[in-house]
Amino acid sequence: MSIIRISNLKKSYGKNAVLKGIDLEVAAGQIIGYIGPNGAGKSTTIRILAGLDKQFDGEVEVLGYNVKDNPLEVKRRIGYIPEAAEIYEVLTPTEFYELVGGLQDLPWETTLKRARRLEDYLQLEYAGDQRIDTFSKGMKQKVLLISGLLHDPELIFLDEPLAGLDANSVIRVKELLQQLTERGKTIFYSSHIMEVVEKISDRIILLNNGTIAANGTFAEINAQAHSGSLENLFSELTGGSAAATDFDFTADE
Amino acid sequence: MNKLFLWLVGLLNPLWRQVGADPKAINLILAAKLKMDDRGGFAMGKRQKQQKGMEYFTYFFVGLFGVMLMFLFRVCDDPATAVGLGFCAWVCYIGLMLITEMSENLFDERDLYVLLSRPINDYTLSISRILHITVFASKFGLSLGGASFIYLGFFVGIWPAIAYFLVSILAIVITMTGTLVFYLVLLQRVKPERLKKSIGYFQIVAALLFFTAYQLPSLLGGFIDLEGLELVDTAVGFSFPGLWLGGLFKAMTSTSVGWMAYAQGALALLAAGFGGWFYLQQSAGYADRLLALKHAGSIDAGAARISNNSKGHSPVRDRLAAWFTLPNQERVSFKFHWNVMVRDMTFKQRTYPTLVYLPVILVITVFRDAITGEEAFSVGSGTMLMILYFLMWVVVIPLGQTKVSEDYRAAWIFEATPNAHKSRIMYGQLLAVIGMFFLPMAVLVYTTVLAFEGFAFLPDIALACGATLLFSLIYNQVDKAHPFSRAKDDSKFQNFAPFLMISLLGGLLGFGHWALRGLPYIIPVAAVVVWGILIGWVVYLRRK
Repeated sequence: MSIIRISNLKKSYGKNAVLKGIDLEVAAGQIIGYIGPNGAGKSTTIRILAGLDKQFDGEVEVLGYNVKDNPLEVKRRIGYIPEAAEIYEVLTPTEFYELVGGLQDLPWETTLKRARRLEDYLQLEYAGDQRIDTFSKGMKQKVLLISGLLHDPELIFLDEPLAGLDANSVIRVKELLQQLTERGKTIFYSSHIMEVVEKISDRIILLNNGTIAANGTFAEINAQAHSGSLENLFSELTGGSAAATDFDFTADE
Repeated sequence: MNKLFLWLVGLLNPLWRQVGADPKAINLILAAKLKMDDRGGFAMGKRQKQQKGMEYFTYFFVGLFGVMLMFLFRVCDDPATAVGLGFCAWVCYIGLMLITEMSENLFDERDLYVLLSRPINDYTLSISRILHITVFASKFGLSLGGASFIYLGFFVGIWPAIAYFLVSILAIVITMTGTLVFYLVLLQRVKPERLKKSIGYFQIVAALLFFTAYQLPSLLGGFIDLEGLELVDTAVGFSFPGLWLGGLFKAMTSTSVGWMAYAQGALALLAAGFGGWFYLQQSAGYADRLLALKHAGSIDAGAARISNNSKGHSPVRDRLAAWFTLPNQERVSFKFHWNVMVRDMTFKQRTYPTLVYLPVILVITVFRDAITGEEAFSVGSGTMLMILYFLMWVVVIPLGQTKVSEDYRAAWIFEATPNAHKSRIMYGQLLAVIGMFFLPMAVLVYTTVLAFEGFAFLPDIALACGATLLFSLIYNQVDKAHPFSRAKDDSKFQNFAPFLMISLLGGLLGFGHWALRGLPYIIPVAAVVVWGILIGWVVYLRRK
């Protein structure tokens, strides 16, 4: 069953067309690696799928709900962790979970229980009343991840979720994502770290110039391009080329 | 406008160079700041609309006040005293505006790494900051002084109008350097980790002084008492900087000038010169101390884990939350707002100084007779009624600030979650503000009013209280922005505009209430109606 169904999705900022007619279907229980160069429209797509942007053309259904007509139903069932998201840093993590859990209509006891389990799993340690503004970047990222999972969403959108995490934490988060898919959750994952995307994704979607340039498992895509690694594949499909070795930006002065 | 200001700043390039600053860098920093002022914040892939309403309202209202100041020339026999009194108002108004709206610009740490990684010295940085603030003070000055300038030009002469304009520039320089230099002194003398708290206290004291000074003329009585008043060129003329400026105006425009007017004029020139010089002196080491201040806020996570032993528990918050809210999003919102209001330094810096307005008016009203030497208590019930409505200050100003934040991008969470019951969030927001600010102040004000007017005043208090809360509810419903979701830089005069609005509205409502008192039974009936509307609306919103 398709958990995401996108048909002819177009989005422009003024005269600048960011998405130029995307068609996509995603089945449940997978990790989808959503990649593309800067400005390709990845974050825009995710914002639309998360019910945060209604200014687009085309049909978008998430978990059977039209995102334009039923954004609240979509938001109830998804988890969304935007890229470089800010948090209310004067709060403690528990107070932040209380806010997020409350907005998701989650009983406080459930919120707290789930938060503590996720904190243990992600090895997030702090004093009970310690505010987020005293946290390192990685600790803040863990708080964000936890807050996005509290309501046990069926579909999770992650935009650069590993930013700021140390190597051990990256391993933990990757394991967590695998376990979530084993429980039938779907993860829509956007990142620039090709190595991670290649390793954890069941399917990779490459967005370039507002259209889908590739869609399939790494093996399927690689069979077409014979690039060896996702990084090379990415470079080939998005028109990147090796930098000139004799480049000197002060040459003509 | 920005280009004009940059051009004017450019005219002073030799001066900037003289004091050791880099004129080109000043111009570049200022141009960038002014551009940023004109652009909305960006959050969740959307450009925020600029909230210019409060700014325009402030300039409009200040302009109206400027027209009132023009009438000083009609009422006062002595033009220099009229000018001096006008500049007293300038000093108070601009001083209050600097404290409640602009002073934090001096401590803006956001662009530190961008600027300080470039070859920029302390003087360049501090001058560019004060010049940025000057833009707003100048617009204030234009609004305040426009009417008087035109009046002088038409009815007195071109030279007095030009003199007035020149003295106005000095008024801005004196007020700005006189106020902002204290922040630099604090930055020099206080340890970074204690600085923000110390600034908070200083702001409250400074707001108290400026607002008290602003209220002092109310002790003089009505306009009629101003007729034969001569303050400039007398010993009293030394008492306040505004009157020194009146002395300077007299020295520049009159042929019969006493030595005291010359002395007051000299004092004004000295104050402006000394203020500028002292500001520059205190600017040495400005960048280093700002950096230290920035780092004082970022404690090592491990160290904080060990050192932080307090419970982070607020019995007052929890008790009030239990009384006022249901255990759903209302309570979540109440606690969230309470926590941020108690902890966020920007919120505190912008809101807490405004809390002094009401106590100042209350004290001046209650002790007015003792101050003016009257034997019997002469304050009429009309004044007391007005004070009851001024309580709106302590709800509306903090409420406005709960929409604004330096971390406005963190409000994405209200967009990304279903948040199906927005009215519950707004209810919690309003009640948190009422619980934290209105309740304690209301107890103080209502007790004082009852002590002076007796229990017969209870229906009046009930009506005023209901009207205050109803107005607060309307104010909250009109602005449906998510909590702390608006960029601070796009929300200028979010304090000063409500202050002006309620100064006007409180007076009007107090007068209307006083007029209604002439009709039998109308006050209790009106109180029941107002409370009925309030309760009905709240019930409707909570069920929505």
